[in-house]
Amino acid sequence: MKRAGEVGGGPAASGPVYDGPVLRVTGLDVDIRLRRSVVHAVRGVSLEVAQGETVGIVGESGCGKSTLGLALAGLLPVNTEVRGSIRLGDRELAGVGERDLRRVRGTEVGIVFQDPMTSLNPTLRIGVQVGEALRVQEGATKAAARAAAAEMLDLVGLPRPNEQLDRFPHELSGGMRQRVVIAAALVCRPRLLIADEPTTALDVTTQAQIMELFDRLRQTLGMATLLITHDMGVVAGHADRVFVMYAGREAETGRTAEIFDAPRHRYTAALLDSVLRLQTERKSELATIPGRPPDLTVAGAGCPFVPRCPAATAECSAQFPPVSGSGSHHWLCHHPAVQDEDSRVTEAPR
Amino acid sequence: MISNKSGPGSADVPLLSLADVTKHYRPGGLLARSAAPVQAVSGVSLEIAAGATLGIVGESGCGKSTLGRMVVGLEKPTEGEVRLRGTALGSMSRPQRRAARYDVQMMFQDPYAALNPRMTLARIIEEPLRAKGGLTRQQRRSQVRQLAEETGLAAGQLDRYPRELSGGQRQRVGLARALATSPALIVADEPVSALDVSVRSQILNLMTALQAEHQLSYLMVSHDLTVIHYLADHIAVMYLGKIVESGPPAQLFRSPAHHYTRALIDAVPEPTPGRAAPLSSIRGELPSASEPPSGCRFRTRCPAAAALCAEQEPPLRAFGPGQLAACHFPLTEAGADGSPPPGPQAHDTKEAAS
Repeated sequence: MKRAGEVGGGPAASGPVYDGPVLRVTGLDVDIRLRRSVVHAVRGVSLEVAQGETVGIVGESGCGKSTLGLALAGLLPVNTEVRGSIRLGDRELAGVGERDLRRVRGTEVGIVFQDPMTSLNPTLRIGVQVGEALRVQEGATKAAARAAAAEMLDLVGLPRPNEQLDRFPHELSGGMRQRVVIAAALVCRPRLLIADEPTTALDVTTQAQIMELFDRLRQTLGMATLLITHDMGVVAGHADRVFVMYAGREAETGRTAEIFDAPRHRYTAALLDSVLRLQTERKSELATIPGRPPDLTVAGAGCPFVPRCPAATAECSAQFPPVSGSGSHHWLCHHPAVQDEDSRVTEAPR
Repeated sequence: MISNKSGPGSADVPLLSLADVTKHYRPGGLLARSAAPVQAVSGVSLEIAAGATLGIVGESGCGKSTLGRMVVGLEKPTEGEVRLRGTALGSMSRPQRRAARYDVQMMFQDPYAALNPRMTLARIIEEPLRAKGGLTRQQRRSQVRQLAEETGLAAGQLDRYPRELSGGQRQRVGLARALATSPALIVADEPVSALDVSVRSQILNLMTALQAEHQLSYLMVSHDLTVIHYLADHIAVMYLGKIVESGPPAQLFRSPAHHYTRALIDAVPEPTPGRAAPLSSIRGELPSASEPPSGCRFRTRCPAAAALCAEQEPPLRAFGPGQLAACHFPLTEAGADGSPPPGPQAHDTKEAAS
């Protein structure tokens, strides 16, 4: 499919027609080496994202979701070891040298982080920062990069984009800064956008506007999006599919409605139960998940959720659960939560 | 020891009241004289009863944190008065001020930044007791243990340092420290915003339990409507330094009168897939607090703004029971005597939007 409006003329993706998923991750492990221990931050993760699709990655802090995002973006620090396969289109990224990776990172993968102020250089004008990737990656002229930057700023909804080009980040509000970051991430028309908590630092009304922008850009540009967030509300409204992570591993994955309406993994169910809603009875006892996420330096044999799980049995401690489910919905749980429409599953032992 | 628990006419005087409180900051630096002051808080009046929670909700820059800082005495109002049990903080004698300081405590958003990294938890929790004085070392120690137990910290953790704790445990320490001086009021500025959902529920459960146990009042400042809705008995919505609407949660959520309140409610991301999020009804940017718009401050972003809104500032008027709003073109009919507003469109606005 022709990508809309080739501003900077990104030739990177040309070549034989490829119609598989934009991103295909298989058996990804990420180990972070510390002085005396190794953190197994991501373990055996496999996932796919299709063109124009948004996949939400959810889980508590420390579940490995940000590390996964950094691994896919090729931004992990040097003390990490990545195993497994990361395919972007028909190209393998794992094991690719830093030079090639940098090119991919700038042109084919766009990244948006939580705090726009830390992603932007406070001493550089906005036009320069948004157009930078085009200049560096594709050798665009100054004028061409500037024109492309203006067009991108217009696309992300900055009023009077031509005037904004010469402003500095501190002159903008948080919401406008995040729009600039998004513009910079998308200026080379990447095939994959990784958004790590893109609205967490923003106010609710601004958050709503930025998420609307993501939805609109996805339709206009057709990129695949990985939305990494702890906010179940944001995922519910904006992701096509959800990938629930716990202790660096996949816990459950499925279409958004499947995950929210019929969660099978006990962790997913507990996570959804503890979400505060406007319908939650005021000052009622809220559901919580006891304990805390496990120590990722220890690679235990069983299900990592055992110490916090209401349905755990000896089997769970002994053996990591196999993949269950069919179609788009899969879970890794020995005693999945019971759902009415699936009569094959009997009540889990307590 | 001075007791401030028996203020004058404590039966009908609210624990805390703000009367027309205004805070303007004069920008520092060379150009300070020529620059317009930042109007962080403008003419805010509020009350908190003993044992009740007042929730202040609004977006960054609305003045909610400045308001909280004035209540704990970290900032002095430019105009107006903050009164504790009827006595203005500004007119208190030294011993009174000292007592007031222990009577109103604060809990911060980022418990890590708020805890001294070189102190053990025991020392952090003990610190306010030492400052307050009047207790032996033994008594302080036993109080620290009791506070730790009440806030769900294991006794074995007391000789640890903040960096060894998770975010939820740090917030428990923040609560234990705030409780140490047996305050009547805790100002909680975004107390759960930095926490994961599961831990957030734990802290909210704890805050609810402690409130019931100690007849505590909370002044809860947050941008998160779900948190405010859950904990607050009364809600004040702030925009650009002013209260635009206030009322009990049920009333405010069922039939908000102000367009800003409505926009905030609509913007809450509901964890229900398939429910199309209503398009954000407000656009544009928060105007500068040094040069707020004339008339209604919200008019530059309001979908219902008309010429009148630029000319006249709308006064706070009564709507439903306990509900006040400042809007020329409200979403519901103003009730002259505080009676419920008529009209079925006023109900279940959240559902109606889906």
